Amino acid sequence: MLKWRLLDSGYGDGAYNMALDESLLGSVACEGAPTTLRLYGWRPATVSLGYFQGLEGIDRTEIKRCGFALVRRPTGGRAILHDDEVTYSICIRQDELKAGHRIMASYRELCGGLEAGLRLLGIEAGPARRTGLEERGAGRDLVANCFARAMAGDLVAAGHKIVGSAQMRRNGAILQHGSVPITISISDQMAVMRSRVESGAVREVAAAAGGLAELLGRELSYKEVAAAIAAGFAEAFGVILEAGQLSQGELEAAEQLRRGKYATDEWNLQPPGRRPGQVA
Amino acid sequence: MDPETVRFHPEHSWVSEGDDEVVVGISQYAADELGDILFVELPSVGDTIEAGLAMGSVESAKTIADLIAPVSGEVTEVNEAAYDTPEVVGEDPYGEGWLLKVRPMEAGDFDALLDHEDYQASVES
Repeated sequence: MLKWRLLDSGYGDGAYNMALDESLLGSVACEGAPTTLRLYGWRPATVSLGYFQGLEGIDRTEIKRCGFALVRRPTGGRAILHDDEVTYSICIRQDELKAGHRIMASYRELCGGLEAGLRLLGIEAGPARRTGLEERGAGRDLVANCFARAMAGDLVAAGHKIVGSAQMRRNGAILQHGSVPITISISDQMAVMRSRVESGAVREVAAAAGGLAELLGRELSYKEVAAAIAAGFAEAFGVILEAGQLSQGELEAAEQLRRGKYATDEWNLQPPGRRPGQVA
Repeated sequence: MDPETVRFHPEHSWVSEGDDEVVVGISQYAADELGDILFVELPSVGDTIEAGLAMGSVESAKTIADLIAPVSGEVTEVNEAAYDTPEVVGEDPYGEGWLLKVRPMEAGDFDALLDHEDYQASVES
């Protein structure tokens, strides 16, 4: 049976978490590292921004006041407040997936591991049925919060978006990572992610998003959720997940990315692709 | 641009034929796969792009993907519309959604790429 590497990194800060995910993508794409499922948490709680996301709707003063941090992801989408959650990341070569060369199909294929894991916890989740952005420009609207919108393919259960995932592709490999909230503090979410449609967004997040504990009506630990996600991926892909270590090269690349990119204001505060005079 | 007359990089970009200046964009297949395109990141005029390497990136609903340069050359013009209304890149990838104009550096780049028929065969296989 095919073996994948399992890394349970535990809690790390945002810059380290994003640097390690990008390092692992490079290692799987170019260095022959095995397909790697990584599970981790965030300390301190951190707001992550999508790759191209501007700072509109993000309250940096409140983020600091709450003791949270801010980091920009290598992947797209909207902002997430990572607090009481398990984050998964999977790095896999495109040709190791049935639908590796197709974007939405590979996204769904990888979400199959999450679905299986959630089922082990007693949650029946499935893809949101929207077939695309409902209206032109909806993907660029003013609501900053990832969990305020369920896009086609996002995992939903009982009408709530329960996982926020995003992908990046580089050199024939895919990084897909996502947030699986155990509990969601709507007040914290909305304190740090304000928008011009703030009152509407509060209602949208409250209505659209749900933590696993709230869905199940019981407490869950990081350890229980992480174990279920790992077991779900193993079941869905018919692989053995073997606990592994980071290579020296992966550690060094992650440290370089942390120091030179994800821990810098230049990366975190300025979305790429914007020119002088362009509204962020 | 007529897709029958351009050449394709296997990583889903196209380039027109020309000596002094060529046009670069993404293929219809890439546009269909990406779906709604939300943002693009492109090099600036005067930058150099290198065949087979990333010349920018694109975000659609679920992914960020590198845009792979089909040829090497110096960027002479960037399509402002791709920044201002990125959806045009997906809606009209051979027309209004072109990405860059480039002064090619390697004469053989164009001939080494796939013609429309071979590219179609590669994405359908």
